[in-house]
Amino acid sequence: MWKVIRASIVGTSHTDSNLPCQDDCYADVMPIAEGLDYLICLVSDGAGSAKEGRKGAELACVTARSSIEATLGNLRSTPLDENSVLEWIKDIRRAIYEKADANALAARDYACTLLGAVVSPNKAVFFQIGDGAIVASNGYTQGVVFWPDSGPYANMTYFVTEEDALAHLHVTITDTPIDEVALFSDGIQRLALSFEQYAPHTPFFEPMLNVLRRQKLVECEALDEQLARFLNSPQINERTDDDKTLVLATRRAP
Amino acid sequence: MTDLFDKTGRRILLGKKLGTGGEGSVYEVPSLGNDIVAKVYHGAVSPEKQAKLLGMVKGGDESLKKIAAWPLETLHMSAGGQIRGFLMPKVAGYEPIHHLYGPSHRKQRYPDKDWAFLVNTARNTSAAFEAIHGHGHIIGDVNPNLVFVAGNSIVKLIDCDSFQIIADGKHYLCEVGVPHFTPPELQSHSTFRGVRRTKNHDNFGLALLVFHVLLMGRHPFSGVFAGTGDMPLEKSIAQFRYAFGQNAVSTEMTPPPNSMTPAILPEAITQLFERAFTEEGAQSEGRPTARDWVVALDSLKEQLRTCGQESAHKYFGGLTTCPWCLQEQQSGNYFFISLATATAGISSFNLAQVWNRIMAIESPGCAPEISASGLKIQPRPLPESIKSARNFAVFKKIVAVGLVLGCLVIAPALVVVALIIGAILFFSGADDSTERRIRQDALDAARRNMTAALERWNREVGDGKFQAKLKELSNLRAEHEKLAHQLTHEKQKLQQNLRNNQLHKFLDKFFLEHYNIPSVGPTRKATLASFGIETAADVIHNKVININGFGPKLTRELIDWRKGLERQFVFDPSKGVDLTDIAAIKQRFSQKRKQIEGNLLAGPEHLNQVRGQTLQQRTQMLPMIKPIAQQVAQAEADLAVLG
Repeated sequence: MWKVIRASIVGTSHTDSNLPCQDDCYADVMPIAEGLDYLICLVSDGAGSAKEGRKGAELACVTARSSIEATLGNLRSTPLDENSVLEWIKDIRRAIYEKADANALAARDYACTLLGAVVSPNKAVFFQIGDGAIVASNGYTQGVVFWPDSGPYANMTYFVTEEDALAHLHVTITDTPIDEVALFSDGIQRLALSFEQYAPHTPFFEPMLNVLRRQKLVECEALDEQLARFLNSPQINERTDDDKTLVLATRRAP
Repeated sequence: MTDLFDKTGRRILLGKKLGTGGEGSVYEVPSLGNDIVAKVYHGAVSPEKQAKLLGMVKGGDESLKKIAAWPLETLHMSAGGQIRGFLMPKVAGYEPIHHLYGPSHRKQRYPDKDWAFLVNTARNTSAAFEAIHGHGHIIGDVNPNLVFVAGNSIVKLIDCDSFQIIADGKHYLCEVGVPHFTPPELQSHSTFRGVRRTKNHDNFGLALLVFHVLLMGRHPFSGVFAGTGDMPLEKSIAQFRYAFGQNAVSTEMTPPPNSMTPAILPEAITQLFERAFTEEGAQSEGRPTARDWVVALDSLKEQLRTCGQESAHKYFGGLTTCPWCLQEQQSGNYFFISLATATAGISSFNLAQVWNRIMAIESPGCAPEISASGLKIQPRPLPESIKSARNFAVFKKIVAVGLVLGCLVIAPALVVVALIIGAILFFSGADDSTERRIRQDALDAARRNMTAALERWNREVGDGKFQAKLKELSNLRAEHEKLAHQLTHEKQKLQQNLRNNQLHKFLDKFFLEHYNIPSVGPTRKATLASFGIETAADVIHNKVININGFGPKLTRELIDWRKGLERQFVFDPSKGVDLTDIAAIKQRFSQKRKQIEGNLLAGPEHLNQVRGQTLQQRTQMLPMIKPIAQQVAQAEADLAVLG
C-alpha cells in the first residue's frame, strides 16, 4: 500500500515581497482493481516572471490529474504508454491556452513546469518539462529519473506553455517495480541532489522516508504538517529562499 | 458474419475483410475470383434502400460498370430474404484522387506522374460524371474520396450506393455531403435529408475536383481574405468568394502565396471555372457540364508542351514560358520530380574556347559621324527687293561721300549741313531684317531636327546593343565559373543540415488527413492543403498562424501534433546525406549549367546578329538622316549670304 505525503511552502523571498507560493502539487492513490493501485504524483512550479504563474501551476495539476485518471479508467481499450503522456500534456496546454484566452492574457502569463509520476506495482511512467527533479528507487538502487532541465542558459528553464513544449518533454516508462518516489521543485533541488556525484543526496531523503515507512497509513495526514514545518525550518530557509515543494511516497515495508 | 445468399439462393462465402466504413464493411469473395468484392451493411437495410439497390442492379449497364464500383447483384440474409449487401467490382490498384493532386502525396507515391497525367485524370473524371449524368443519376456526395485513379489515369467512382438514383421513375436520394465540396446554394442546409440534388450541384463538385487536379490541390475558395473577421471555407463558398477569380476586388480574396493559378490554363478553361464558381453558375444549369469539361480538357491535351529545360515539366503550349520553371525559380516549389538522370560533370563544353569565339566577333563600332561635306551647297538667292535695295544703298553711300567732298570744295560754310545729310544717306542701308529672321528660323528648325535625328542615329545604330549583349554574355560566363563552387557549397549545406533534412523527410511521411487532430476537421485540413500544408513537415508556426481562421488555439493543436511526432524521430548520423538529395541538387545545377552553356554557345551567333542588324540599320537610316544634314548645311549657307 502506498503511503504519500506532500507539502508546498512559500519561499522567504516571496514572503518578504508578499507574493504567494507559485508551486502546486497533487499526490494520491487511485485504485483500479483489487490489488492494483496507481500512485499519481504531480508537481508544478509557476514561473516567478509570469503574471499568473500560481494559477498556471494549479491548472496544470488539476488538468493532469483528471486526464491521468481518465486514462487509467480506460486501460482496457487504450494502453498506458508514451502516447498517453503526450495526450496529458496536450490536455494541459489546451486548458491553459483556453484560460489565457478567456482572461485576455497570453499563455506565457501562466508559464509553469511539470513533473509527474504514475506508478503501479509493475509499471511506472515518469515525465517532466523544465527543472525540479524526480528520484525513484526499486528497493535496490535509487536514482534521479531526469536531471533538472534548465535549458542552455542560467536562470531559465522550459515551461509547459511554450510553443514547442513537447520537444522538451522527457518521458521514461519502466516495468521495474518502483517502490519509492520523490518529486520536488527547483527550490530544493540544491539540497536534494548532489551535483558533484550526479546522484540523489541520500542524507536529505533517508530520515524522512524512514519515518514514512514506519508510519501507519491512517496517520500519514499528520505527517503532511510535519513535512511543511520541516520545509519552512531555518535549516532549509538559510539554504534556499525560493518556493519549495516536496512529494514523498513509499510502499516499502519498514 | 453469417453467410449471405445471392438472389438465386446460392450461398456466398465471405473471405478476408478489406475495410470498414460507417455503413458497412467490404469483404473478398474467394469463390467469385479476385475482381468481385462484397459490401455488407452493419445492420438491417431500410426497405427504401433495398428498393434502391434492386433498381441499381437492374439499371447497371456496361458503361456504368466501366467507370464505377456499381452494384452487380444483391446479397440477402437468407435465400429470397432481406437485402443486407451487394456484390461490386473490386477497385484494386487504384488510389483516391487526392493522393494525386496533393503535391507531397503525388511526389512520394507517383514520382513519375507529370501534369499531362493530371490533365488526363481530370478529363477521365469528367467523363465518368458524364456517364452517370447520362443515365439520369446524380452523384450528390462529390468528395475527394469519390474518385479513384489507376496508374494509366483511368478513374473509377466508388460509394455508388449513396448516389441519387432514378429507377422506375422514382428518385432515391443521396442524403450525405461534405461541407467543403457543397455548392453555395446548398451551404445553408444543415442536412441533406429530403434534398433533391441536381446535375448543376454535381457540376460544382466536378469543377472543384478539376481545379484541385490541375492546380496542385488548391481549393478555389481558400485564399487570403482582405476583409475583417474570420472567413472559414464553408462561408467563403456560400458567399461565392472565388479566390482565384477575375473579380478579386468584390470577393476580397486573393490566392494563397505561391499558388499556381488559372493563368497557366487556356482562357476557355479559366472561363469555365469563372462560371462554375460565381453566382452565374448557381442559376439553373448555370455551371459547365461534364461534357463541357471533357471537351475543354481534350483540347488542352492537344496543346500540351514539354519544357525545354526539364522534361518532367508539361504545360499549356499557349504560354510563352514554362510555369513550373517559373514557380521553381520564384518560390523554390518543386511540383514535379525530374526523372532524367543528372548528367555527370563530363561535358564537352570548353568555356575558354567559347569565350574566344565570342570575343572574335567584331563590334559594329560607334555610329559614323554624319556630315554634309562633299555636298555642293548653293545658297538660296536673295529676293529681288533686297538686291535692289542693296544696290540703291551703295549708290546712296557714293552720293553721301560726293556731297561732303563737294561741299568742302564749293561751300565750306555749309559743311555741317552736308555732313548731316551725308551721314543720313551713308548709314541708311538696305533693310533685310525680315528675311534674316526667316532664314534664322529655318536654320534653328533644321538644327533641332538634326539633334533629334542624331540622337536616334547614335542610339539605334551605335554599338550600344552589341555591348549590352556582350555584357550579358560576360555575366553568364562569370556565373558559369561560379557554378562548381556553388554546387560544392550546396552539398556542404546538405551535410550541415543533415539532421534537419532527415527530420524533414521523416515528418513529410505523416499526412494531416490521416490523423485525428482536435478541432481540425476535413474542411480545415482542406484549407491547410490550399496553403501548402499537407504533412507534419509543413506545420510551421508562422505559416499556420497567418492563415485566416487559424488562431493560436488551432496553431497550438497542429504544432503539438507535429512536436509529438518529432519525438519519434531518431537522427542517424551514419546515414549521411541522402543520395537522392545530392542527385536533386546535381540535377538542378546541371539544368542551370546547360541553360548557361546553351546561351554562351549561341553567343557568337547572337552577337553577329546584333552586329548585322546594326550595320543594316545604318544603311537603312542613312538616306533618312542625310537630307536632314543637308537641310542644316543649306540653312547655314542661306543665312551666311545675308552677311
